[in-house]
Amino acid sequence: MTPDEYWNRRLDLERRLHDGPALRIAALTLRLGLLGEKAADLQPDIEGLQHELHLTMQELRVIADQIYPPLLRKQGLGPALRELTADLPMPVRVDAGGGRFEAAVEGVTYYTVCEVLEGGGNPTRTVDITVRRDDQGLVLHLAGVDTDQVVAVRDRIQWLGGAVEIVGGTALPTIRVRIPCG
Amino acid sequence: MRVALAEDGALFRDGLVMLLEAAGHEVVGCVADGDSMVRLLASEPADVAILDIRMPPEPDGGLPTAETLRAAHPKLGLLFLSHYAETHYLMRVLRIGTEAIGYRLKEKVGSVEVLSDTLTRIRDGEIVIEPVLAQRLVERPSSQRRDVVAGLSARERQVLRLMAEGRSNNGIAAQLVVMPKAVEKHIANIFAKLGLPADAAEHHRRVLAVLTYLRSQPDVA
Repeated sequence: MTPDEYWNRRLDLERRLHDGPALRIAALTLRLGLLGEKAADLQPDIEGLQHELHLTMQELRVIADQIYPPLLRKQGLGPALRELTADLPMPVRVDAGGGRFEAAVEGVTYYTVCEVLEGGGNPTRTVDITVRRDDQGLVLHLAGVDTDQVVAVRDRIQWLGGAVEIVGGTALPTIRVRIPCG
Repeated sequence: MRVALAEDGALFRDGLVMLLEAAGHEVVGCVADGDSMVRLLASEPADVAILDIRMPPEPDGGLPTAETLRAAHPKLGLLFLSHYAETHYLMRVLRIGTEAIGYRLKEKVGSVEVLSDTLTRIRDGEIVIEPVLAQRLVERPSSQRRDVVAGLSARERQVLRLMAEGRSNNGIAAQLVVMPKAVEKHIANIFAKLGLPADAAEHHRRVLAVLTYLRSQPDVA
């Protein structure tokens, strides 16, 4: 399988999750509501079931984000990285220019940031995330992070023909990722 | 109430039409994409248009459709029923308007009471925001705002969350079983601590101000 095939398969899985089970569950909450109109004494039970379905949907949303975040597919790296980092304990700045990239490139970039930040770090230190396009492709800078996390993401980046290195020294430990693309 | 519906998932669309009719509303039209909705409402007046966000035209057809509809029919209420729970989309919706507008999750409107209450508030010019999203904005603000929100008391955070759902002072007072005067005092404190101008008369703009403040990030993209 090529990287493109792999990432397109993930995109397709997320789409199927949305168009299939997620939509079916949402429609089921409406049918339960109609049932409640016919049987008023069942109303409290029906509300309980609808709440369970809402929790199921929330779980499906979490899973969808782990397959390929719909926000990344629709709106690109800037909005997706801002949504991802808004809830983290440390302050994060996201500066994502350069427009849209292929699904594989955006996917690898997104999950690289995910894994590096999930690895922990100093909660008081500001993390700076910058995405740019140069004449070779995408350039990602992750500054103020735990650079040991680089081992977790190297394989995926190299699979796309990309390279990852640690720059910036101890003053501002920075992971720099380059991924070639057209 | 006269309601128009645009949703590309047939199963959900059919269920919603049945529930709307059971609630006594008139469904003036039912389409599967945003452009058809614009054409439908050019000839068919409605009180509220219900829009899916993720529908044609790609990528998020509900948003440009809503902008077009708001420009053509300023009095038309807009209700987004979305699968998305991302605050990104909530903020996009609030940029389209902060009056006669709503954002709810698809699986949270499955009763005649909730659906009718949501539609009525929107028709009457209010803003309706999915409680679970309002709560997340208040309880998990972006890292830049965490310090200021941490400065609020537990009671003030409760009031802020209810404000963010679009509730009036009286509505908040009823929820918390306190006097409206007490709510006003909490809100004045919240505005002072968040550094917002205290203009409590402008109810809807107040919600927007609070939400935007809580969510604000350096917008560099």
